[in-house]
Amino acid sequence: MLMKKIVVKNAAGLHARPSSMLVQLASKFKSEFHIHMYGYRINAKSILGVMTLAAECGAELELELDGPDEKKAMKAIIELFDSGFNEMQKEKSR
Amino acid sequence: MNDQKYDPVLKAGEQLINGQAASPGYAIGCASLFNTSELVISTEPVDGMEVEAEYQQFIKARRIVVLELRKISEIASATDEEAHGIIQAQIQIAEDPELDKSIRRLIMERHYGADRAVNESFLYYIQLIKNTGNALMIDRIVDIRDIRDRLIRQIQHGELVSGVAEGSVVICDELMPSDILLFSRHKVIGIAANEGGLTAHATIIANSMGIPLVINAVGATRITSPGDMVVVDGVDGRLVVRPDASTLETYRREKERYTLELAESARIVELPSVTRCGREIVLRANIEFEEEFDNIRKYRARGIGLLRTESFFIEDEGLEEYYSKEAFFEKAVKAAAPDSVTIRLFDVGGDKFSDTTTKEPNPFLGWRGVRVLLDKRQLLRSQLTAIMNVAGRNPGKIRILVPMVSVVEEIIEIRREVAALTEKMRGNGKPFDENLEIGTMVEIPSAALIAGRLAEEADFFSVGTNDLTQYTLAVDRGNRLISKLFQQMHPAVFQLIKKTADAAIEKGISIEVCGELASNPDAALCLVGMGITDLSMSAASLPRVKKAIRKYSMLEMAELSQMVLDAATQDEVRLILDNWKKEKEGDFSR
Repeated sequence: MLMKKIVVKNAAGLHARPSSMLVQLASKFKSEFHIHMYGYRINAKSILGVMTLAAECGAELELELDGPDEKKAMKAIIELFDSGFNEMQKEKSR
Repeated sequence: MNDQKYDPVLKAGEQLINGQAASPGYAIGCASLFNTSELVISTEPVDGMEVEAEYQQFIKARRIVVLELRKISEIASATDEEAHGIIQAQIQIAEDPELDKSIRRLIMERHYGADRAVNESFLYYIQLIKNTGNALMIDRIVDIRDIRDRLIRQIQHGELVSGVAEGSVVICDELMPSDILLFSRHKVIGIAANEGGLTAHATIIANSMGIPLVINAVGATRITSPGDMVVVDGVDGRLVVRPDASTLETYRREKERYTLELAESARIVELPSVTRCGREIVLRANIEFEEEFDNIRKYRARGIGLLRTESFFIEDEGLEEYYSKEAFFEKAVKAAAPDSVTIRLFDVGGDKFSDTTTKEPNPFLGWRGVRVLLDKRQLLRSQLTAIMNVAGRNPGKIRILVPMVSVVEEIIEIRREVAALTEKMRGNGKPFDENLEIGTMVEIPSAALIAGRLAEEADFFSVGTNDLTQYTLAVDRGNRLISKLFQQMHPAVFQLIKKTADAAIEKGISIEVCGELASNPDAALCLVGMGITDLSMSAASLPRVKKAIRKYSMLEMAELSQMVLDAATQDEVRLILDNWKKEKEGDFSR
């Protein structure tokens, strides 16, 4: 099992679109994926669960991955967070 | 132009609902009522032998709903990337593994009917999302309910009966994003909804698809019958049901005019903002809400000339919230890039503070703008900190504008605060913008009269014409008894602006006008004629101002402004303008 702390970087926070991207990415991996925040532990393959976190910019989350491809999954998920959910990229392409 | 508009005095037989304009344009046509029946959820327990079959009913319904959403999503991806994203998220919601667990448990263990299990499971999540208090998330609840209702309808074998006739105007309770896409496939020409929010995605989609929409038209579904003639006025936010012949005629004209204007402005948006002699005029946008950011690109504004910050305060009902607004400023900078954003410091009257006990006899001459900021240093510092943090990360992209400056000391004092905060940031090793510009609003006659001295302390001027008119003519613009005296084009107002412009030009600082006056094409000609080559206004007004400016040279506009400055009355100003334009049109060169 892997655990890692991470901070939400994109300005609007983990709103609907980033939540959707996160769940979509997580669903590609076999590993179980949970997020810890404010003492809650939610299934991060559940978009409704992720949305109930309403994690804003600057919020600190802890990622928990458990399964055969946990390392690969962790790397991909952290990349997604670090990219700010491609929000800036989206701006540019408009 | 205004006198042609629909006069909201009811004619015999017609009914008017005042709602909120959410997507501009006019639609005149027959009404279709959509989706107004309430869902009835079963309460009968399921027999213990039937629970697995009941759960399978949900699975089957979900498969159909997801297929239907995929179909809608295909239509959406061709027209609107954002809508496509919303529907993708809706598919994920329908297939959510935790939701599935919850529904299964309620059916298996509590013997709920599938529809009831779906309803209860969704309610749980909707409540949790409401509890977060996060506006962005709360706006998404409508998308979540949409999925819930689709699932329940499917389970109850109730087809999604739309009954929407092609080319009709839809009247509904609440709007779901996917509905709008279905509507557009039915070639719906306009929509009015009992409820809704400006930030809801349905609104965004209606805008991007160009369907006129009025929301919060309370009672719309109650007073409208299918087939009724209706008018959706997405400009002024009205729904007129069974309009009288003259109302209909007014709206037909209005619609025609609007269509022409749209075509015209689409053409003008692409043209450079230059005078006939080739001098560039900077046209910027006045912005208050995040939803308006897209307009900057849409209307090719050169950044944000006035970012209002008052709505934060009113919405949040507290100062503590201010800190979180850095994100908003950051987004504004992105939206304005590569141009800059001018942020006006918090500009409200003392009546907005709960701890004030003194009732001011003359609030407009009272504790407002910078006067409040200098007395509420904590508020001032928290706002400056937020702005300066963002400016530090985006040097040269932010300017600060100080409202309601009446004496030089006020701007000096604000500079002192900014300098102290800069030192603090330097000490903490935080990035800061060394050349952060601080400008003053010129909206009080005293500021205009001492503009030469003010220019020694300010980096730029921004003329606020609404307040300047109010204070110059001593007219409270909200007072109906004297509304005729609220004359923004009065020569006295122009004279004060001219004095300010002269001082700015002499001292070598920049000057712009960010008031309503700038959005009036005639007035804009006069302002440019005074040497003010930087105007900021609501983005939608930019094309018509640009159109006017492109017709004339700097010299011609300077001549015009001189005549206007010499006028005695506003009527005379209007006459001069009309005659001047006619004369110019007579020139065969245009």
